[in-house]
Amino acid sequence: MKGLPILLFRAPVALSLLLWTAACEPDLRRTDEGTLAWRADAPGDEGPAVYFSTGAHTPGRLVATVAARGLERVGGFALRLRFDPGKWRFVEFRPASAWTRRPRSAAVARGDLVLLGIGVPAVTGGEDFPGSPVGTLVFELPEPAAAASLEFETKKSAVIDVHGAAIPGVSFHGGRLEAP
Amino acid sequence: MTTVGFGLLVLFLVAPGRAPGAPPAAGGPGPLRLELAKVVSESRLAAPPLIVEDGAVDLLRMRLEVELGDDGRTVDATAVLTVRTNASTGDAFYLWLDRGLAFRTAGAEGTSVRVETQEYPPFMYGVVGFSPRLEAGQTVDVTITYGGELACEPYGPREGRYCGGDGSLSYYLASGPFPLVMDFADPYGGLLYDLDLILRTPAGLDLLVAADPVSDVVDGDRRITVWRGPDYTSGMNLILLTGYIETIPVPGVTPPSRVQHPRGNADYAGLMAEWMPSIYGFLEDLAGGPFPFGQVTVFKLPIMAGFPGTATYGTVYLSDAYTTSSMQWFEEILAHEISHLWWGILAAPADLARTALTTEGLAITSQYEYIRRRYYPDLDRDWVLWSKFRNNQLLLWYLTDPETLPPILLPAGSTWPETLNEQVVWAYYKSSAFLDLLRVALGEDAFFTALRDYVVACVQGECTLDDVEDVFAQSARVAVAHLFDAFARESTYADLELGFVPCAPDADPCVSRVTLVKEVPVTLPVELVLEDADGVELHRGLVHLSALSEDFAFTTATRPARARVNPRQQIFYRVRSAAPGDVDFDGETDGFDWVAATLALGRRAVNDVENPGLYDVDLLFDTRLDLVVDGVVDEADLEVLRAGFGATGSGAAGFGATAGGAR
Repeated sequence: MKGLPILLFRAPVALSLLLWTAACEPDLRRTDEGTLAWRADAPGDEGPAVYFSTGAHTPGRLVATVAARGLERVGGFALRLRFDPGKWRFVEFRPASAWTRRPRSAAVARGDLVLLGIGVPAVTGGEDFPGSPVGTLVFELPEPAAAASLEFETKKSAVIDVHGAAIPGVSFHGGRLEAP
Repeated sequence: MTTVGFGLLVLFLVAPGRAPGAPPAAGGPGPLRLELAKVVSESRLAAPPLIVEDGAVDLLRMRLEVELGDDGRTVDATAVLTVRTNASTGDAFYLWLDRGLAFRTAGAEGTSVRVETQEYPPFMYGVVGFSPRLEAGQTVDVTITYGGELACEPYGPREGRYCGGDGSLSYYLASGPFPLVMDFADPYGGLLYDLDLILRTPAGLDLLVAADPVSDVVDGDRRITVWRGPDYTSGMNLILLTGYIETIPVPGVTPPSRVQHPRGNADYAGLMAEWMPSIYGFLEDLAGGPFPFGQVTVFKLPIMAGFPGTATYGTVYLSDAYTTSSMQWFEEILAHEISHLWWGILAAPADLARTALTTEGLAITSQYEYIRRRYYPDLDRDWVLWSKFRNNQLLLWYLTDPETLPPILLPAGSTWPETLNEQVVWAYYKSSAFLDLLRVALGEDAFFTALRDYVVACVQGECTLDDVEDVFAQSARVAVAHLFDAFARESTYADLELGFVPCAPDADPCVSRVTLVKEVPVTLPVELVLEDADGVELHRGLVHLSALSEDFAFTTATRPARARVNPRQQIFYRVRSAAPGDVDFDGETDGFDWVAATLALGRRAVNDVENPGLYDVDLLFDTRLDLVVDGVVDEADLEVLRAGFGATGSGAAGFGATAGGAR
């Protein structure tokens, strides 16, 4: 226990030094969690779309929910998103509970891409998405968090119908973490 | 005996209610000659016969005079067989008949004839020998009389029949009222002889005989007809139909041809006559000329127990059972059966006991190609043919065990596969798949030129699979021995790993890389196709994979999205992407692969698990999704895909955080 008085003495000093340093050397890249917010690109008024319905940024963590609308008898989603692996780390994808049949999903990060597949057997008849969640992406954000975007690679993303064909005319809308 | 063709043409026929596009299947008389040859072969091994000579005779001529009673069952016959010994060690042969008949007398000038009779219900056979023995090269006329009442009983597990019917239409095959001759030393061996037949039948009945007509006279209540079959082979089954028959001529074909049907049952017969000029034209192109028969008759059989049809000398018998799915299917089967006039009748292989490559294999090849040319000439050839050959793949991979199914050329001394499924898959589907493998490897022109050369070389010849190989090699002027060795003499299934790295998105020129890896030593011809995201073909070419691993670079005008192996080769090649789970072969395992597999979850290659049959395969089953090759797309396949998720075509695994997974 001999070290305890020293620690009690030194800790406030160290904290003061840290605060002083921060105040004197502003880092333009640094953004406080309190100053960054998730913002999704809103889909247009019409047409089938895949988009982020909600997103939440908490310390060290970003949770963004992929949703879809205007889609019926969907067999699955083959999605590919681009992100900045220097700023975020992909953790997982969780299928939404809104699916009426248990979907199977797989997701992986490869470089600056998140590859995602989620679907149901054709014999189920598929799933309708009138504007309901598909699943949630979870990223770990090293402190301090930094602004970055999460965009769909539209050429490598598709909504697949229950017969295995890509549904035409689907638009994809990403999102970003940015200062409000 | 000389080895000139072989026995009963093995024609299986479809069962009623076939699905459109489904193939012919066993259900008819079956390879009766082979079955009976097996009987006498095994009986010789089990118990040496009284006549111990190792027989070896050539049957030069068979003169038959057969009287058929008004009851359609009573037979009184005389057979004069001209035989010549061709070995110094023996001179015996077998004669098979219905067991309701009995040998009455047997004689020959200058020697006595012994007939040892054995029963093999519903047949009986005589072992015919001479005392004193004949000398090598000696020719003798053996006169044998026989008669009795035909039993016409079913035989075998499929209850085939060699005679039957009713008063309005009856049928009689060799081994019923007509003797089926086999060599004593080599029951599987072939025959080539002249046939002369005199029939005495009820005057009121029409006849159809598998031979050329010579004369036709009515004498009281008897109709006396004379028939001749020059160059008859043991691949030709002497078949007689009696009854009330009507005829529709087929105009504009060579030789003169007709469709016949039972009186009052003309359904579809007119269609058959309409199709036949197209079929003849196709087969003339395939074989290089018209059928060398005096005439050809296609008989539309009613659905009859035990006899759905067959083909023989100038005659094709096709059952109404084929009409129950679609007319295109019926036409396809008609093409199959008529093609047998070449593949098995005129060109009767000498090694039919060991292979069906040039009988059923070529007949399947013919029916697929006929339908393609007639109905889909403007569609992608591979797509059309693969829509047919995928059935071959499914049957081979999943209805049978390809690892245990025997090679296309059976090892010497072995017999055809035992079970119906194995027999049909081996004879029809594995054989035709190999021919298609050759076709892809040789190219269209070389393959079809080789077929015509085969006809020239092997009609009334003594061709074996070795000869077929020689014909193809000489005709195409490329080496094919390694393919025959690996895929016909042995059962090779080559695992092939395909790595694909497309050029960079903006690369100019766009040079993409394909890496092929195999484990088998044989050089594999592999047709590679590079295509864009819309399936537009950017490159197609044959490479010859000799090393275990080779890289190939391809320059294309635009960036390819995927590289794949011609699916027609994927019956013998099991192709996997270097990216595990990359089922669409775009070089990476991603959401598209995942969704494709997920959609197919629960799908089975063979739907009837308990009692799988030839018609139980799911023609939409995608073998690419069956990553563990167990005949069902299930969680095990998803696990393979999950493990490879994110992998790229270079084989490199994905990196970074991995997560997700099934809930």
